[in-house]
Amino acid sequence: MRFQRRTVSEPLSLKLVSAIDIVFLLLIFFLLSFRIRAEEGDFPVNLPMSQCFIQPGPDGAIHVFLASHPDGRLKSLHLGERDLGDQVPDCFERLNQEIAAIVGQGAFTDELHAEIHTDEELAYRHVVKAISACRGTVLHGRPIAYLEDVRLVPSP
Amino acid sequence: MKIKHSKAAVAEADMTPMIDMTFQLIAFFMIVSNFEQTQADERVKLPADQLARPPLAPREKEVVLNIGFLRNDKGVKLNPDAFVFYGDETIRVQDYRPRLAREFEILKRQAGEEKARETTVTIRADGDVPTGQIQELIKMGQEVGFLKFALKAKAGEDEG
Repeated sequence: MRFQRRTVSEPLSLKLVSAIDIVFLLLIFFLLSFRIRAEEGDFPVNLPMSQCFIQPGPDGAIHVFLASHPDGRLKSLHLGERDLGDQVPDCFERLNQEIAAIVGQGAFTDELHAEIHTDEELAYRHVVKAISACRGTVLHGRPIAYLEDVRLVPSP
Repeated sequence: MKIKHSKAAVAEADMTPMIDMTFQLIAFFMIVSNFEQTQADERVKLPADQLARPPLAPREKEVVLNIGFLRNDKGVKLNPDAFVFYGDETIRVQDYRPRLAREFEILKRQAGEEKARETTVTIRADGDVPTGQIQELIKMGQEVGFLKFALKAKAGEDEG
């Protein structure tokens, strides 16, 4: 009987070319879709209907008034009757300190809420600052909450 | 004379470290890519605030409204009016009510009226937009049936 001579077997290798192609395509996709963006956060706000302005809210409302120049700049910031000025960001820092003092005094902080009255022309960034000043502060990197309930009320 | 025929060796580069690195790059981009902000519009320049923190749990359903100005490459406003950016469309705030009503109707059909009412309307507005326009939009939202609203801000402090 004649045996066929064994042929020298070639080393077994996986065809990685297509896998590497896919990997590179994935890499290109992620590279192109990558955007460096700042983290975004929310301010949940309670927004009463316009008639709520006519009937003032229950006791415990802290009224913040923001007046505007026609071009949207802040004209004045009042906490109740008290004028806190118009210098941004100092006036908002003052508001924050005043709110901290009010919250620090009272035992009924759950009943407290802020009502922010704004002029229509006022730039939105000032409203965000006012909401933030009412809601709390950041101390040593940790947020401290003052008022959870902040309402936005349009000026009549 | 006998000439020896040696088999020519195939030169092969070792690809293993390169593939390792590529996989590490892919893993990095997969982790840092944010697929949640797909509804965010790049044209909106959000105001920044240190208290703005992302919600602890992502919302199940939300309607995101991007409000801003049409600006040129240098950031100068081309039109003094604010617009709602809806994909490629730009719609004036006062004309947005039918769209909002349609969004509410779709949500109502998908999940029922109660769920639709509980859906948060997230407002991503440019820092220069007059507050009256945002209030107008919120009022429209309330009139069509939405109850919850949230205002977006960028985490951190304003530059300049």
